[in-house]
Amino acid sequence: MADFPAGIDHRPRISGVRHWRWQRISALALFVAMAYFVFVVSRLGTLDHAQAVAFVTAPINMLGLVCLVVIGLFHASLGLEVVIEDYVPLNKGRRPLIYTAKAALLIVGVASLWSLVVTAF
Amino acid sequence: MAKARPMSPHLQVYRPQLTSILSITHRASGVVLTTGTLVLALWLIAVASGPETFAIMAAIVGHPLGQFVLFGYSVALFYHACNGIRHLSWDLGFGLTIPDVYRSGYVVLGATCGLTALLWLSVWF
Repeated sequence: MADFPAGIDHRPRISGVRHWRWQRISALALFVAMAYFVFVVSRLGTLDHAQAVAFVTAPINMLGLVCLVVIGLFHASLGLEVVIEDYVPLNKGRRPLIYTAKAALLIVGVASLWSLVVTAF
Repeated sequence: MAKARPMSPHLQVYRPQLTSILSITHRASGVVLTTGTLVLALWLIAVASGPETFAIMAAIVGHPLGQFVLFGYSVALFYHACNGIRHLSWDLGFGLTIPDVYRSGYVVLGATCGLTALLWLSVWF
């Protein structure tokens, strides 16, 4: 602990156990959502725009897409955090990089969900 | 100065093995799949934007190069999912001996190839 440069916060935002647990819970949830979409999308064939809108706005698919986006990005953010922590030293910009990565994922998520809202209404 | 914590193996002098290759591939496929969320977002944006934008997106996705990228994403997805199950079984305490770890490693590789082949055969035929 004493080896960390003064003024650099090395503490993670949540405890390691909670991080570990949520990574696995989100993995299981994502597995279900992914299994559904890989199967359904493989059956789709080529879609025109009207068919794509019909696919996205079907309630089961809308629910699935929201789950896929939210859980997928959550799982990705937990994973990226661990990868960055392992390869980027604290004094080489670890925390800014983690925040940047999470901000990017948040933007992707908001854009995805907003697109779903626009498509539905 | 005392070492604060143990260090990871020095990869330059660490002989690659099935175990280490599959481990780093799990991470790499996870990072690749993270970029896939951007592709999904772009597709959803295209659907929301209307027929013209969607036609551009459909052309990109339908192009052989786009299909090749999608193929890559499918390999990453199946590998990450199968190896994820392997990780979850370790978390439950199963298959932790070295022979078991190698066996499950080969099973994951086989399952990844099999599922990828199944998916694309079902898409194309």
